[in-house]
Amino acid sequence: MNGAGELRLASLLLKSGALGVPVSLFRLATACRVISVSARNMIPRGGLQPTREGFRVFIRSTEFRGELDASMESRLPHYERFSFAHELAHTLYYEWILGGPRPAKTAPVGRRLEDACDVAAARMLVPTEILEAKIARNAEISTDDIVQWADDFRVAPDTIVRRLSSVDTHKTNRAILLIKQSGAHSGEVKAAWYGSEMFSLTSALRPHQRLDDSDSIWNVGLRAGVGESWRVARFGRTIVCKKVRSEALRPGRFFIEATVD
Amino acid sequence: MKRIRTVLYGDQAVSLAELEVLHTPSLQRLYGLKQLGLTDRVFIDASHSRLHHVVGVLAQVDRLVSAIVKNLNRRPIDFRIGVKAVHKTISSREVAKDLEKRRQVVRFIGFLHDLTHAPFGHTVEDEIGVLESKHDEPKRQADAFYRLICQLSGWLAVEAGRGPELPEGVRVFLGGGHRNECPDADEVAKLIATLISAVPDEVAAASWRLSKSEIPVLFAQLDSAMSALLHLEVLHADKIDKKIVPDKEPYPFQVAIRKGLSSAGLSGILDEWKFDVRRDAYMLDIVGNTVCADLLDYARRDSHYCGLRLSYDPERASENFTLISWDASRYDFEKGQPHSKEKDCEDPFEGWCLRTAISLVSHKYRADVPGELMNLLNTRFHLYERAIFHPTKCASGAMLGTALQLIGWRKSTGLAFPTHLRFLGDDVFLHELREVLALLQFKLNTLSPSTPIDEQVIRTWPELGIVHGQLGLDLLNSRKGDAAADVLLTFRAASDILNRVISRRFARPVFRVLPSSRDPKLGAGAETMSDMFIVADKRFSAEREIEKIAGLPQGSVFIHCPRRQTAKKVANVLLVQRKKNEAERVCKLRHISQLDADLFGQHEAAVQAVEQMYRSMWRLVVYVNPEHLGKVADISQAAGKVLFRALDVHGQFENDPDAQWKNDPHLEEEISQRLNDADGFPDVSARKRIIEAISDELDGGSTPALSALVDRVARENLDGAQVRGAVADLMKGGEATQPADASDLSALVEAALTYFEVRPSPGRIKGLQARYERPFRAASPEVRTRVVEQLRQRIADTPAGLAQHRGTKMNEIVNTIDAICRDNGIAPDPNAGLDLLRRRKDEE
Repeated sequence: MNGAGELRLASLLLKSGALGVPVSLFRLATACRVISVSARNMIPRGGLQPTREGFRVFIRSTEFRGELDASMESRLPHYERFSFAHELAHTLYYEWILGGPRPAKTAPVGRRLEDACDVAAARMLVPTEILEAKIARNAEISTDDIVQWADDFRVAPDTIVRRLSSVDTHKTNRAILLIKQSGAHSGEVKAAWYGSEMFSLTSALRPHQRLDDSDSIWNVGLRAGVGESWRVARFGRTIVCKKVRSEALRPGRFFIEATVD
Repeated sequence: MKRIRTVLYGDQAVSLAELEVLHTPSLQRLYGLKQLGLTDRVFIDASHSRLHHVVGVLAQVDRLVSAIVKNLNRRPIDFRIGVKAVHKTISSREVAKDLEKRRQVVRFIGFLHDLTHAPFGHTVEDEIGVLESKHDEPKRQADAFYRLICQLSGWLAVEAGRGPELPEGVRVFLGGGHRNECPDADEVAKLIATLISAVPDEVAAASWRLSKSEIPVLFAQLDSAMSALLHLEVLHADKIDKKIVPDKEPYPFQVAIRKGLSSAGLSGILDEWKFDVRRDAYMLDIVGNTVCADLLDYARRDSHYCGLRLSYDPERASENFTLISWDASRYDFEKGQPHSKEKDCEDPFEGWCLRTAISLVSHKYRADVPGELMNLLNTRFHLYERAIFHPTKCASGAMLGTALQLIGWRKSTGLAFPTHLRFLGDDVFLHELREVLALLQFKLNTLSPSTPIDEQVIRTWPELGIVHGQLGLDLLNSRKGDAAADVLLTFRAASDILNRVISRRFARPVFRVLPSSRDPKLGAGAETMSDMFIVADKRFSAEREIEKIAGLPQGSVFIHCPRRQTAKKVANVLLVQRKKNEAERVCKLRHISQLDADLFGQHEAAVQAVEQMYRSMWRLVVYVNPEHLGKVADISQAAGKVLFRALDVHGQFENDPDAQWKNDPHLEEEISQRLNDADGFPDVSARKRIIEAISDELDGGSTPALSALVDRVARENLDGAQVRGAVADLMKGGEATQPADASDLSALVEAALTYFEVRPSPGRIKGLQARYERPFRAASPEVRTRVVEQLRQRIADTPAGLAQHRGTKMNEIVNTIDAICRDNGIAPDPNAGLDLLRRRKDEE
């Protein structure tokens, strides 16, 4: 998301009165010219129908059917909130010409548009203004904080970790990885946060990988046991795994919390 | 000057002298020679001719000449020319002045450099080698040049009103004279002298483009350019042999021009324009060396007309051209590669010569110059990879080669390739061959099959000695002693192949040897294979052998085996570094790290990488006519055996039944994919064959269960996905289970397809079937019905006209069906059908 998009979104959040913990998506939707939000047991997770009167948003839901209103917002599960925010993000890439919405000429297309909307959706659900305030109040961010903030913002922990990585926080020696385990010794980093920029992010973790100069902190983390430490010769640093936390997350997912000396 | 509007260069200035040469049958013939041969059967716009190319070369020659003149005038230096003991020096300013004057000669060199190409030259000369000489050998060039001089002087005489007096030997050249012997040089010399001295001024002014005084200059310039071109091959050859060194005795075209001008009292003009081998060697470099006008034009032209998005910066590539004094043998000696030449063979370029090089220093140090050369190197590589070595184009070349060999032009038969065919255009050449073959088949059909072809039979058809330049007669003479039926069979096979070529019904690949391929038994790799099958006759024998083993008719199998290419041409370009207060340093691009190891070390590695990439392009491919693809397994096996046997020269593995070269697994997979993707196999037996082939892998024999499966495949006409499912079951060790209720599975797939506005490809639909066939088979009919119903409901619930969908529709539908299956207690196999669905990706 570029600077202009950031500003526009910040302004929408403020003007609509949606800014808060959690963010009110329905208020934001009104500001985005959304005229209806419907839940259906449909194929895609979400969809947007531009009309001359405004946008119609559709969200895939197994619990709800029909039109949704603001009173139901608190009952929407996290992933449906994310789908809702994603569709709202799509509205930002339209411009109103001759009384109707048209895709903006400068908008990305295809996969890049979807990725941009994912980023914008996370930005909507976890506003930078509030997140920075929370970071400022916490000397050290722990996995407990992340789980708590995810509950507060009514989002998945992944979204919090991603947002932490995208905001400009102070330098720190702490790292937190959210791993989706796919086997006993392999997995995928769903989201990762590391206050410094020293180690690269390897999204795919390989099983039984030997620790060597090319190893990244993320690969080390997969085999973590509390209190264990590794030395990464390339940087002359030691990574110490502080905590492995798997409760309160979906099955097959766990956090690794580490410090880098 | 005249202007010619061209596609690539806009308005091009062409001198009147060039127009005189252009408007001759020899140059006009180049319209009929396609620059890329049969490549236009793949890239349909790539039908540009060699004439377009030579005109384009003129533009590039001009660019290079201007750059050289500019760079020579930038800083004065002295060049050495000659052998060590008697070398002389010449200043760069003098050379620049001389080059400016001789620009026309260099342009003529560019104009005439492709004159000797035969139709489908690459196939006729390089692949089957039926011509006794290469197009750039001096003898053949001199013949072509003399024909051009005859045509030019003939037409000038006709336009000056001297047509009626034209000697008969020259008159025939007004139309090309392809079937005629060249006239005596004295006769042409006389004609040239007459043009210069006997044509009245007012007639010359009214009829000719050029003034009367310009005519002798034109001939002198042509003499210089043509004499230069005789040295083109030897200048750039790795090994010097007598065939490529021009004779010391003058060739007929030189005699005609020189005598003509001398007898008109103009021998001074000859001296003025004389080609000095060592001083003017760089003129040949400008047209046809490593980075040269030829390459700069064809790299741009061929990629443009093929529609490939390849480009280089022509200004950058040429602006740093300059000249150096260069002793090739000294450089090679320093590199440990002694300059190779045949015994008693004189190298005309021995010692110091003026050669082109690319300067790394202009007004400042230009470290970016090698980068642009790399770009050119890459452009050439991609052009080769994508167009010149396109598999379909290679198939067409192999077919044409086999047709010519079947006609009789093989090294082993000794049948000479008729001279007149060398001067035809591509299409006329094919037409001529087909006409002759049709005539011969007609005649041979009148004989009883066992009649031997002998003098008596041939004498009954006197017309064969009159039409088509006696080609039919020559072909029959070469088959004396053979039975009429055999001769008819080979001519018919050749004719069929040519018909396929002109109809673009090309053969398809069934067997491929990649550069990495190696046989552990023979301890031989692709290199040995290439060395063996680069010989056309070996390929011909192997093709017929494969046909015999696989039970195919003659002319069904074609082998394509190109030379192992390298990037030598561009990588050999000379680079020069002339810094103030430092000695001049020269090296080839491939040794560029010598100039500055830190700066150019990676460039050298990149050049070597491109050279390796060229080698990786090589492949030997066996093609077969499409109607035999049903027998693909047999043909592939036969090919493997024949290729193996050819390399087993000592017969070590003669009795080894498993001795065969392995087919490229990628090609095998492609063929099997194509067969499975087809709407239906051509016949049930082909399908059986596949099942049988798989059965061999199961337990090495036919089991009752397998036999039942084969019967079922044939009876129920199962498609590829169903066959795979059935075989998978068998491999698990169980009996072939009953298939899922086909109506439920197709109902599921049909329901899924209603989600798409544009119907997915058949392959992806098969992917859907393959993915859910097994879970459906395991489920009860009620569950299957429920899954289909729920999917329909989900699709009905999806609003139409949504602007945005996350991911592709195929991903969405597969995820949805997976989820519905899981909800209903069916576990879809996470990997089933993925290869067909391709873009399918787990989202969560």
